[in-house]
Amino acid sequence: MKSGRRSHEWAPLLSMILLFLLFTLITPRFAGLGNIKMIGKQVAINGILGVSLFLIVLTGGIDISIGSTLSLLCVLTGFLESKKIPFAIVFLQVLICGAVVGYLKGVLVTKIKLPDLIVTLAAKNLIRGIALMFSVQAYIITSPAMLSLGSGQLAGVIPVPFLCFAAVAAITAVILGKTRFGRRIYAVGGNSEAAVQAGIDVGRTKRSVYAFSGILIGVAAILYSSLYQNILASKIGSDTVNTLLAVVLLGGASMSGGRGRVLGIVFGALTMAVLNNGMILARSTDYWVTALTGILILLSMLVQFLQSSAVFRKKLGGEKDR
Amino acid sequence: MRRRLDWPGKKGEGTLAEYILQMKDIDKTFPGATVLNHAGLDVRQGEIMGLIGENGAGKSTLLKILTGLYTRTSGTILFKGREVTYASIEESADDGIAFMHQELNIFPNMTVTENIFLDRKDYVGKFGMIQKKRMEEDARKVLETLGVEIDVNRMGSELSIHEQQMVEIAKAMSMNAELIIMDEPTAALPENEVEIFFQFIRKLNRRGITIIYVSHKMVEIEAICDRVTILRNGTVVDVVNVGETTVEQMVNKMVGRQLDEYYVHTPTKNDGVLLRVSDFNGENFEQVSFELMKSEVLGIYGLAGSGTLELAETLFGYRKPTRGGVTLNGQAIKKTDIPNMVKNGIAYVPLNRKKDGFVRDMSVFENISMVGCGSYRKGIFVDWAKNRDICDKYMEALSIKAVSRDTHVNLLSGGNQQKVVLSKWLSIHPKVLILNEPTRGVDVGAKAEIYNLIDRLVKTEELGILLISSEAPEVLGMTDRVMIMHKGRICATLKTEGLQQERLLKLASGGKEEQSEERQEIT
Amino acid sequence: MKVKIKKAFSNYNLRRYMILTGILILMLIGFSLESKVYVTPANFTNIAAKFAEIGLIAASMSLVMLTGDIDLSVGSVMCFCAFLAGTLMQSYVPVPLAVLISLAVAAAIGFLNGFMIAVMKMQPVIVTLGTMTAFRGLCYVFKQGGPMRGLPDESFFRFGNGTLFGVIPYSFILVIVVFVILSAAMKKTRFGMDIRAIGNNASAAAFSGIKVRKYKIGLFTFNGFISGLAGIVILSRMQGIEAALGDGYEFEAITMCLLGGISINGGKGTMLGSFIGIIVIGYLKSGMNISHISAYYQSAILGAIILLSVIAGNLEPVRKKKEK
Repeated sequence: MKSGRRSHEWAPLLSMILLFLLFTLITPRFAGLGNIKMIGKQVAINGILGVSLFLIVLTGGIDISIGSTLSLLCVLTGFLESKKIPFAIVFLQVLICGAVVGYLKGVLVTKIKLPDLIVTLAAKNLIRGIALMFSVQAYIITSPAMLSLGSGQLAGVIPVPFLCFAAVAAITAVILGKTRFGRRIYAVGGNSEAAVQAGIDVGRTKRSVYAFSGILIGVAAILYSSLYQNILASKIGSDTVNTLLAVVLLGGASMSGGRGRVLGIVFGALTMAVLNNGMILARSTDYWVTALTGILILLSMLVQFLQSSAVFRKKLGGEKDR
Repeated sequence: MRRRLDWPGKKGEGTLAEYILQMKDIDKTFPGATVLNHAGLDVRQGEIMGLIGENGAGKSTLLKILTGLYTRTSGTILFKGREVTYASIEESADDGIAFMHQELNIFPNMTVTENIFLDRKDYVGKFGMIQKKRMEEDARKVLETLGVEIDVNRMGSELSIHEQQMVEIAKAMSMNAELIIMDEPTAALPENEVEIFFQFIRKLNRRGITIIYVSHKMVEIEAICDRVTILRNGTVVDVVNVGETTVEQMVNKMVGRQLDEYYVHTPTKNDGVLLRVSDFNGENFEQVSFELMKSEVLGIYGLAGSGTLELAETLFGYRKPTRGGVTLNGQAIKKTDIPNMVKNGIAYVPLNRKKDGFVRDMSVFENISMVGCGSYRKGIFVDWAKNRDICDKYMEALSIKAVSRDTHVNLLSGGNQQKVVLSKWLSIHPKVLILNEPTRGVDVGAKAEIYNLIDRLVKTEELGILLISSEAPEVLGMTDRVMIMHKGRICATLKTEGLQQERLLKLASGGKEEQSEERQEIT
Repeated sequence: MKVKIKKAFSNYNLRRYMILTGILILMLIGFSLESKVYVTPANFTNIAAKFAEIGLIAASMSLVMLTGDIDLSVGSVMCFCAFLAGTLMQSYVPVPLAVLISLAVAAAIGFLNGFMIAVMKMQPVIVTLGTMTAFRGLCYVFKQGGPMRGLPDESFFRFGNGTLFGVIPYSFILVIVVFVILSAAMKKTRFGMDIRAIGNNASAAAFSGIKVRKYKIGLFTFNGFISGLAGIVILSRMQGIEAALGDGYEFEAITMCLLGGISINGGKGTMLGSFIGIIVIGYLKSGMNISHISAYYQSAILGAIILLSVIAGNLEPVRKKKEK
């Protein structure tokens, strides 16, 4: 029974390996150590953001303002850095700011009871507008602490950004699997009516999730700034929603909430990174990547549909047996 | 802080007369309606207290006030001698009151252990980590004490209804509940498992746990309860000891009148078959065949989960039949979807009025003309003036009480809402009217009006009416013939005249006709 | 008289119209202080031409939103169809045929959306976000990300740049025609009642014999078709096209509908409301441009408008309940 439940996570791993082999055949350069390190770096940001979106999706919601929140927090990082504030304080302030932005979205969704799509659609524009106001010209990151974060390697092999991603994924997995808060998130997404009856404050749980997801966006913003150094709000995160949605769906999360695990999201993010990197190396026009992302979203929805209808049919059969 | 899993309050300590719960002078008003009027509930330590009342009498409101889901307008609650006001289910649960809901609240995506101990702070260990091992052990322990064998690692979605129920009870037990409220706990349970469930309740009760048992099945009330509180229109009519009174007396108190005086239907002359259903199969019912005559009220009686709902919805085309067909006036209906059924003159008043019956944010006029407005036109456009006249006609004929035809339906009372749904269908002059629990949640006055309407319709319009109901008096008082459904099959079709309520109940709960032994429960 | 005004104000739609008209008048006065051109017919022509495409999309989007759904793919579909029509014309397919083919493709995309949403019961947001991304990507594929310029048949451009009496652009007349037809359908036939019933309570609508699935598929198909039409109009107006065109149009169209009083939960609002919404947003954007408000602030202001109009729409039923 258990193996059946886990199959969701291994499907993206399989597709990742297949893609990997395919690209290795097309361009031998692809499987080189340098390129693999590159993929490790590239996966970090979308991976962390994917986990952040996954948390929202787990509660049955959606957030399409993650990209613009990222750009706002990046601008904030650049702004604070340019004031020569120590790294630790910058880090803390960005995370707190992320949490506050997330919490505010949560308040609009749960207290004023607005649909999450509209809240985040409006937030997307509002936040991007604010970010653009503050970044008239580009911020350049120069502090050594941040630069080493972006380009550092553990034991000369593993890129630090990848380590950060792994750490974020591990911590989130532990919180989801092992703490009361985590179980509440699954409960709210799985059956919110029953969650109310079980005495769970659904609104508060959702607000906390939005805040938590905001903190993760903060982590991603710090990494982004240290990886790319040149921060211009208009260049950051404009098409992130689609990629993240593909990551989450590939990772086996159910859009209606309550199902999916962090491990699946990790594999989903890796698949997208391999796809992206491979397409560029194979000198295909990267325009195809956008189109493929959309097609992947639709395909994963299709797979979910087929799975759920298969489960449904099985259930019906089971009922009759009784 | 660790709490040991103990059974609370051994029986025998103190006397039976000691009250664990006293609710006094509880009032509750919702916008536009008074639901509770000086209602109360006194429960002694260690007893099983039944709570009965018609739909809308205020049972669930009273219990929701007790557990903190609703706030009361006025009144006091004493639990274990202390005055309490709970702000949430969490608080009342912490204090030892567990609520088992009619719809089982199992999380399909979680294990049995997690379902039992969800969100319990006792299992949060170092660094906020949940102590899974200890939780699983305790879950096993609780289930063991209950004498239930369920693997604690199974997922909620894999459990049968009975197992889900056991998990719900385990949940209540694990909270060290001293008072368990059971709201229609057998609603989803197959008939043969009810007795097992009762043994279980008795076992709990022997351990000193007090139980409030809500049900509309008098058989069960009589079998399991010590005393019964009877509610009517938001007030307590009487509190009786079960051994000292008959079911009839209880029902009369609950309904507040002699039953027969308000069912007006008199048998009609049936001429010719209107609707023929042959070897009809679908989700949750099989091999259903019957004929509905012109000007006949045919009752379908079955307990919850017996397949009456699915049969009705399949007849109306909402669900797809797996086999079998329907003939209307001798002509087979080929395409079974709702639009085609409506075109053929079959109308359906659904069970869940709020969800399926009317559109709450649209006006009385829009709701009534929703089906029939297309039949009156000027060229390609709908003739709204004509439709308004028709709407007015039905509002008057059914005496719908609304400020105007432009009033939103959600501002009307339950009875008037139901009349709007009826008007919607009557305006297209249907041949067959399927009514699914048409008087549920409807006040007494409107109930009588609806019964009058049913009688008038079959007599003047030659309509055939299928009346689906789980209220035996309604079926006995309003139909010409009655089909009894049990586990998805029609187990008997009888003439209503002279039919006794006991026989109806016995058949509906799977009893055999020949069985003549006198069972105490079925009186 | 006073009673009449009060009564009009208690009606959700009339109140919206009055508030929006009030805002429009205030804007006309306020921005004309900033610049004399603001209230001239020339500026109207300018605005009407610029917002004709979004206006078309807003018309069919209103219907989709009335049934409680949403379509985010409109901008991409519009751009895709413009590219398709342009490519066909460049390979010397006759203009009418090229237009027909692109409209058919657009309708097919809409049908695909509708099928996945109504029959396979997938969430509208995710499905249309998927098609949005897929077709945006395909737009880039046409010219490897570059723009498309120069069509052989120059007469095609006449429609997009012509005006009636020198004031009303042809494309805006098209918008008005679409609105009048849809408005009539909403008011005079059972179509309007049916889709409002679906948006308010799809289950009760189905139990009343309304063909919920067919309506939903039909509306998404229509929405795709209208998006394609908008693509043709924009191709004719701009005489060329680039791959990023129409990015954010879905957002603007939704803003117009929400501002005009269409409820995001479905079932509430009118076509006239959406039409006024188009005019208000059009004049607001033009005013902001005239007073040199930067694009960054404009984006933030539009976001704030969405939030405010949804909050306003959401608060009303709450207040009504409290009054009772």
